[in-house]
Amino acid sequence: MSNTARPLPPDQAERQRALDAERSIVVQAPAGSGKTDLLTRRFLRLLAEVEEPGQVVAITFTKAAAAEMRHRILAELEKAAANDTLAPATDAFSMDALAQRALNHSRALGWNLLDLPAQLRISTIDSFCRDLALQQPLLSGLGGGLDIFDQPKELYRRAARQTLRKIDQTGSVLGQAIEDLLLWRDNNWQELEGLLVEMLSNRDRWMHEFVL
Amino acid sequence: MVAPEFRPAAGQAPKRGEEIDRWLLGGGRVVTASERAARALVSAFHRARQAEGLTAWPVPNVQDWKSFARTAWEERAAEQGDGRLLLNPAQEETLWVEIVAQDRSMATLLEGPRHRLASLAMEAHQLLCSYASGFLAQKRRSAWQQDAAAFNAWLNAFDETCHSAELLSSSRLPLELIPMLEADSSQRPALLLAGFDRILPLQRNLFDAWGSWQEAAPASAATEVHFHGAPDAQSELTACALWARRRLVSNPESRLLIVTQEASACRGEIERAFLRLADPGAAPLFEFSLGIQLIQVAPIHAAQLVLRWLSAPLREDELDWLLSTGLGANPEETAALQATMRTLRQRGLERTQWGLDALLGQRVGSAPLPAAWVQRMLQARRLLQAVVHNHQTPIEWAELVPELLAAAGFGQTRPLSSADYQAIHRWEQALETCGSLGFDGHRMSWPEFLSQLDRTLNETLFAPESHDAPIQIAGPAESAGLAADAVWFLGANEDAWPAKGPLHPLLPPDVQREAEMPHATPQLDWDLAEAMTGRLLAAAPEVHFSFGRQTAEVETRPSRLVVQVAGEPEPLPEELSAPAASSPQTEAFEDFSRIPFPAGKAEGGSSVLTAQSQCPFKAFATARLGAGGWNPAESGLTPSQRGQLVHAVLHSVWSGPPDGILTADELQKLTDRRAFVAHHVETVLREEMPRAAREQMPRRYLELEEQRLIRLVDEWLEFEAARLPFTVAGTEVERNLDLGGLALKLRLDRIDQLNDGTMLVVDYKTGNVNPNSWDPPRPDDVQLPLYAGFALDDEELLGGLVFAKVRPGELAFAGRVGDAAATLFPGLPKNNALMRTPLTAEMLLDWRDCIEQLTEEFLTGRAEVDPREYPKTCERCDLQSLCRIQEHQVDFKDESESENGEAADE
Repeated sequence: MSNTARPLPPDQAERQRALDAERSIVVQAPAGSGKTDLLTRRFLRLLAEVEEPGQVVAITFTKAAAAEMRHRILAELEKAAANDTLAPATDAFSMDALAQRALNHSRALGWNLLDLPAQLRISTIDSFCRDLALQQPLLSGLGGGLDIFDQPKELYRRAARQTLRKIDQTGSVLGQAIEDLLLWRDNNWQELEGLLVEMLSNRDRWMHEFVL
Repeated sequence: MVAPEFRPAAGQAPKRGEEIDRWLLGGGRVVTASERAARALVSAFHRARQAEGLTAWPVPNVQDWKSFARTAWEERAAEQGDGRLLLNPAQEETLWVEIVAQDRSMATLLEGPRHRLASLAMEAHQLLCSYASGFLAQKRRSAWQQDAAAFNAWLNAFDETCHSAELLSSSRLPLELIPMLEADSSQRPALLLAGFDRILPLQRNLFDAWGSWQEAAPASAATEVHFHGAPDAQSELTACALWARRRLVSNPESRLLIVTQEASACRGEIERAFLRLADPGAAPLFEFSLGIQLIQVAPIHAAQLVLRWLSAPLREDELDWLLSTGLGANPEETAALQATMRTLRQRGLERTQWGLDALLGQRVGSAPLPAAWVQRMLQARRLLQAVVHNHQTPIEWAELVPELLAAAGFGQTRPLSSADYQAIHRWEQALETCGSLGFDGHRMSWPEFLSQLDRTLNETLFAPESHDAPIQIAGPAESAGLAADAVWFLGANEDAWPAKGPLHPLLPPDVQREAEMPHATPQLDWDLAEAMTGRLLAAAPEVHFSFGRQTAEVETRPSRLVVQVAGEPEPLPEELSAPAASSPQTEAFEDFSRIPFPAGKAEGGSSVLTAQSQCPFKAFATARLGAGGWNPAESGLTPSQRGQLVHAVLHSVWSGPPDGILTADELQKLTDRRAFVAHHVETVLREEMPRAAREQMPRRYLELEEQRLIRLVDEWLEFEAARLPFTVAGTEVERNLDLGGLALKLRLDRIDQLNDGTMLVVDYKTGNVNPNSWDPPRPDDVQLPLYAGFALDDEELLGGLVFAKVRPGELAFAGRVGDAAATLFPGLPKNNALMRTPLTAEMLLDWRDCIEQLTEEFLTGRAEVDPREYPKTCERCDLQSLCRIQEHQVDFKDESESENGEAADE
């Protein structure tokens, strides 16, 4: 239970700094070095300082990572609830202390986090973006009721095909660009269609170069 | 009339359903939360009377909430001379769509988002009516910001339109009914409410204005409650199906209720799990209370495709499906239509999309389109064409649709099942709804009407009439009002239960929270789920909850709410775990018996022996069973079509007089080689360009293809111009072979006579090829060795065999030639591939032996699944579903691993 029994890691100072709620922090570290642990602590610390749990957002790349994060945080809060009667932890930045503070804050504001964990905003980046778009249907221009499509390849293909068909816009910049592209790929329409489909599925890697 | 009061003795909970049954028997009126619950109560009432041995009894007075309010309003509105039109949901949505479209800031919105926004606005209006009717007053909304401000403006426009056009939204109806009831002091029958998880403020006000009402008392909670934690969703479902089966075996009269939030998303999986445990051939013991989208019902989907096809092309897969359904064509016509589609594909004439004209224009001599079907389709199209460019009222379009389908022979060609009839009836209602959209006098085009019909069919749910199956599968909300002997609630995990949702984006959050609208706060979600859970616990004496600990590789936790009522989850009891197979389900039986090939012609020429070498089963399946892969049509020319065009141009160039040439000398003497090539390319493209490409591809793409062909062939001829003298002895030469009873028809691309009088067999290739693929003992390609060894006349001496690689950036001969430096290119260096491995007599003998061996294997019927090089050979083959190589994978893997291991040891 006690944190003092374990030797402190050599980068303890950096770890403490990463918990500073006043600063933005980028943590880059190898696998197994405790990034999730650090993120859990920072999340718990922030939870103890906000008016609503939804004001803290954790975003991951995979559903599994989001689930793991949620489990870690809830497990710490449950542990804190079970240890209510124990003496407060001496280290203010220990996991126990952070969880206890977050739990006390939750109770004070009536969040009932343990029964209603859906209030914790921990999600994948796809789902976070979808929520944002749905919250503002006019601004996003998408309307409501949208779901993320798991198999978009056929849609990419249709988009690629329709784009390539614009080659007949004689004299237009796009028409000329498609013509140049086809000439470069030996007029191989199907190959080009495939390349565009591949590009569309990786557009996070290149789109920022084109769209501001 | 006042219904008899029914109350159980003090301290005693009523028996399930008893209170409602007594109320109805006494002639009382019951109002349910949903239509589904109303149907369930009526059906339970009838069952009870049958059980009493009665043969006739009065119809019970049960109404769902919406029908109750509408009937009450209609009665009073008629009395008061209220002539307003009560909008149906489709009409109201159309009104919202028009209002959103008129908003100038929404001008750039596409059709899909515009409709979705209109649905959101309609939903927001309904929420205000049900939860916060005070905000229907314009001045209370004046401070709304952002998206809510836009909705405010739309709502103003909606109110104005309804007022000026004398329309009434069904969401407003209860609000209008309340003062009517308050003003009418006549005595009304008491109401008993059933299946309400939550009575909305609006409903409460209306019932109060009605007079006497009460909620059905909750039955006593289940005495047996379990919470099962299954390892994953699959074993959870299996456990549920096993449980249901055991219950029904021990008591066939049991009525079971399965509750799942995934009823629509996982419908297929749920069906499979329950079907797997049913006795083969027996009627299904389960039914879903939630319907499927009407557009997914086969006859409806087919009708919609036919309507679309009369004026626009269908995708290849849509057409293939339509023609295979037997809807709109009798069995003979269906078989003929499928044969046409198959033949078109075999001839490489597939298309990504097919217009009606394009298909009718195909001349497939061996598999013609059925004439009567063609006539019907043309007749239907003529009917549509007479009006297709008009803007008509929706009712005119709706009336035309049945005529079009009747002309196309739809629905007259195969007997329909009862479910089909019900679906068609529902479809007629949907069509009527679309026809009703002209209420405000607007007209629409045919495509607009079709897309409206599409949307309506997507939004309409259809479930065939209940046959009162012992297992009912329902969502948590729809299960309201259903009673059973036992309940199983699937998917009780922390993320799914309580169900959560977002705030409504068009209403200010504080308004939603204050009015306690759905999902306004997590606590409201909890409260609603708690009420539903409580209701389910009272729905049966035995209630099971379950969840899968692992879902899609993500660990899930049990629902906290369920833990509170049922305790911590326990592992599944052994009797509900998937039964371990008592003995192996399949037994491997290697069958090496052979069925000899009856002497005769094999389709496919040399590819039969190539396939025999690659994998004996491949040759058997393709040449004897006629099996082949199926890939969707693609747009643009396929690699094979492009290769055929190159072949055709080179054939034209080397065809001799009057237009072509025959010798190296003639080639070298061409004054304008490019113009010469351009002439041949133009001639070939005029005749040989595939029709689908000519009709469907952009003009500029086809021009670029022409330029590419000219450039490529010109470069190739420049390469050939450097050759030592030769004469083309023939192009596209056909030879018939008989190899010990196997008749093969071969076609040689070209045969050159070289300067030493020997013959060079040339095969044009536009893909990547390597002559090493000819090497015995198991060549990957036997085409050229077969030509060289068996297809030349006796007096012709073989000088070599080569692939002519006509590829941009790679123009070369690759193959085996006796003396390439003396017969092909002067001064070829010794390290040139053609010089390094010359053609030898021994090589020819080896090839010959190998081909004879393969021929014999094919003829004797050797058909084992034995790929030449696993998995590479299999990756280029489309027959895995037939040979089921995956089931043998381990053997092959072991083989390759041990080979690698041996190599490492060396």
